[in-house]
Amino acid sequence: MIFSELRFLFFFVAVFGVYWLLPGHRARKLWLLGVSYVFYGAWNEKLLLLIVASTVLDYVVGLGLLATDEPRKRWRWMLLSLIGNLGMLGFFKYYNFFVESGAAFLTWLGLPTSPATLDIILPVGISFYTFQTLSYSIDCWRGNLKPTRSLLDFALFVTFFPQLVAGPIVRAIDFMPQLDAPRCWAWVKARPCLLLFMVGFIKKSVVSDSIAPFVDAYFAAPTAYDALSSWVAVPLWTAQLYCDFSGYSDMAIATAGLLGYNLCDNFAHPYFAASITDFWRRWHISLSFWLRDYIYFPLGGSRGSNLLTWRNITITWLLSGLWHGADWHYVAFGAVMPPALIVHRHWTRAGLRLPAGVGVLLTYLYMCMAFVLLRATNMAAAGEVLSAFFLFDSPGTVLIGDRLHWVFLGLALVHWVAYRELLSAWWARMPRLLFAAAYGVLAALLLALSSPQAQPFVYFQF
Amino acid sequence: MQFVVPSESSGRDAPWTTVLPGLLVFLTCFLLTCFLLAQALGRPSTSLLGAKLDLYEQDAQGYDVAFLGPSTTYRQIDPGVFDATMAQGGRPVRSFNLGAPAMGGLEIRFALSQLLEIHPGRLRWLFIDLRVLDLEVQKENLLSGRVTWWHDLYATIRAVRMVLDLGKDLKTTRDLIIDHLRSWAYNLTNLGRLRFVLEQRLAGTEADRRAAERAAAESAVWELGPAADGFCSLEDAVRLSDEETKAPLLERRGAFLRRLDEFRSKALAKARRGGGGSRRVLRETERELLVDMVATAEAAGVSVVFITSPDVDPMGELLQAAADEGLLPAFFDFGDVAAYRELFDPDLRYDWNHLAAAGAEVYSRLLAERLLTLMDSRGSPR
Repeated sequence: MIFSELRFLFFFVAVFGVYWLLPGHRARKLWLLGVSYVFYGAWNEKLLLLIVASTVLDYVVGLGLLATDEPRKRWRWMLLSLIGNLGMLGFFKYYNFFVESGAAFLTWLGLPTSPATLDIILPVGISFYTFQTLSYSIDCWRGNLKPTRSLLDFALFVTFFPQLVAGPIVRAIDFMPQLDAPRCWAWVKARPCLLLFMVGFIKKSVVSDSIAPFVDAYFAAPTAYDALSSWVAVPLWTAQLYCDFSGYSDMAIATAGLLGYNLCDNFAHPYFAASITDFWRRWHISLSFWLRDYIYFPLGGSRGSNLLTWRNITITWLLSGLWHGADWHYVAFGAVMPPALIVHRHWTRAGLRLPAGVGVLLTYLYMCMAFVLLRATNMAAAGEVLSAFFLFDSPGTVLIGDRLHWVFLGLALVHWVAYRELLSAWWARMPRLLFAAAYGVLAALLLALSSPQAQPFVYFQF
Repeated sequence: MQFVVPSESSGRDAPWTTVLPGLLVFLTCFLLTCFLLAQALGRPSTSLLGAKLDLYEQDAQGYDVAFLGPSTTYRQIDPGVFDATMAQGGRPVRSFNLGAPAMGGLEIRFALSQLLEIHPGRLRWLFIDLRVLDLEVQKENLLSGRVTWWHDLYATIRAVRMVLDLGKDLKTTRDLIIDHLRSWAYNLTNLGRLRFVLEQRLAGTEADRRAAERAAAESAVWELGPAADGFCSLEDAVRLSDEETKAPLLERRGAFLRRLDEFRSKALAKARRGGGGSRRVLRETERELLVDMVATAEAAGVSVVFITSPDVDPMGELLQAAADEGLLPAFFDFGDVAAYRELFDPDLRYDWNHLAAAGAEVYSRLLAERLLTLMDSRGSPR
């Protein structure tokens, strides 16, 4: 079940109605936990066991940390969480990748191999909820968060359905205190929530799903298209990726808001970023900050020499690339970030500045290159697309479409309008019943514009 | 941005009365827009029935006779032959074939209401070939423009009642009901219909779009028939259609030719058993559907003739049972091998269930002759 499906709307209306009608805080939390398991089980009931196992593991680790102040014992508990969580993630997501890569390396050395790969399905959202549960254990171990004794609260933190499968990656330190106090409907800013949900729906179901067939066709056979097509397909892919993922985040934040819970922001108009550093403060913010707080800072951050800082940046981003997927083109995606971040770091330190527009354009072009690595099926395919995009070199003759560039320009304009917040005040001032009427008309138009077969979110594969 | 702002002063939940007026306005505007949009978008071009009704509506003179049913109507009833036979019999008419592959009872009922909205004045006779009921739609077709289109509220309520009447196990019943409700929701919300228009405008280059238009025009020829009367024989479909459409038709032909002896012996066995009498018992909802079809048509001044097409398989049992109960005002059973032996001649057949073009000619003539006899027996003025 995904947010842009019609059945999710029915599911949410039922969840929302029962939730606010239930009298007690505990009953509401139990209801949310139950429907969260139903939501996740809609993909694969068997994988519920995995999320339950992950929940129990870190709940027990939390209790263990609560019971002792002794550093060695606390570290053992922490180690248990690390091994359990990363072991699970490693097995389900990376086992085949490492086995195949190892076999390829041995073959390259001229040694005989017979790689024992397994037919493993990637549990949806595992990268997200593993990072969430890890952040809980780490924060408890560091003493930043008091472990909870309530299994209900902890299970709800892990499985809360709006953010379960594709984030934002919620930190226990932000979310769990919200579980303490009973939620009140009067606290909910319903209109902004409804607007945000609609914006997310437009991004995903109208924009991203409409662009997807053209992008898929191009990336399936990039050499069949002429070089000019890459200048339509690659920007469209960046638009698709942004609309798809930020659309999901918008709907997640709005859905959680309507149930009385705040989730952290995940996007802040990233394509208006004036540098790569700025970009990663605006794109998948919850992951960027997670990597910063749980990998980059513990490695030493930028406190040491330049060389150490470069090392820390490189390790962090290589891991970020691997987080996105188990293949070398994902690693390459992570690997192209450190050079740009390091150059920008020293450029800024030297007091050099670029005109804002130039910075935005350069950053966007750099991310076009990086996102091609994320989208391509392998390194060779990425090379073909990048060759067409940057060197205008493609043997193909097919033109992707003579009207699609207008779509991109239209999207850029809408993105700019949203960036400048030109319409938000107008919506906020609208009388309540007029807002309801406008929302009804828009909802009907949007459903007619959306895809009958809802496409899975791009970030589900990560 | 913070979407939930805890405050000391508002510790109690807001009463539902503050939400309800907005909700009502939202729902009203939503449904009104859906309705207006459906009117503006018209019949779905992806539905053969929609395209046929468009063609039917375009004819300023109108038609006296229409045929509704699945491929055994679409591929076997030639309005040209039918009209010529009627004219020879002294009762000239204009007829149109509204059949579409796999059209079942509920879609036929929907098509009937759509048809009566167009030319209620001139249409006098309606032939209905009812073989199946449309309760179990194939998964891949479930969300197609065609299936969602006939799932209006009326058809969906009827479908749900009929599913409950089937007496299947709980899971099957639940799944079938969900399928029909989903199709209805898709229909109500016009899901994806504007997007389809948008995709057609954006796809490819100008040359691609022109090629797509040409292909659509070409497919209209074999879908709506070379004579633009809704009839397209299977031979014409093979001759005029694209490779993708052609392949399964040729496969079915090949399979039939390999099983000729089996077909002959089945036909012979059916002939020995003789026509008439069905062991099938009608369910209450099936009875209601048939009575409703007849009443709706007759209220618009249209006489209904139910037909079973020539088939060695027991596809006409539903209508046979209805005829036994006296529910059908007129019933032509062409599944009676003894009475219509020529229709079971393998040389006149394209495949196991369908007649070839030559068979369609015989069938259409026989159909017209039976109607002439019926009209004479009822004393209809010439």
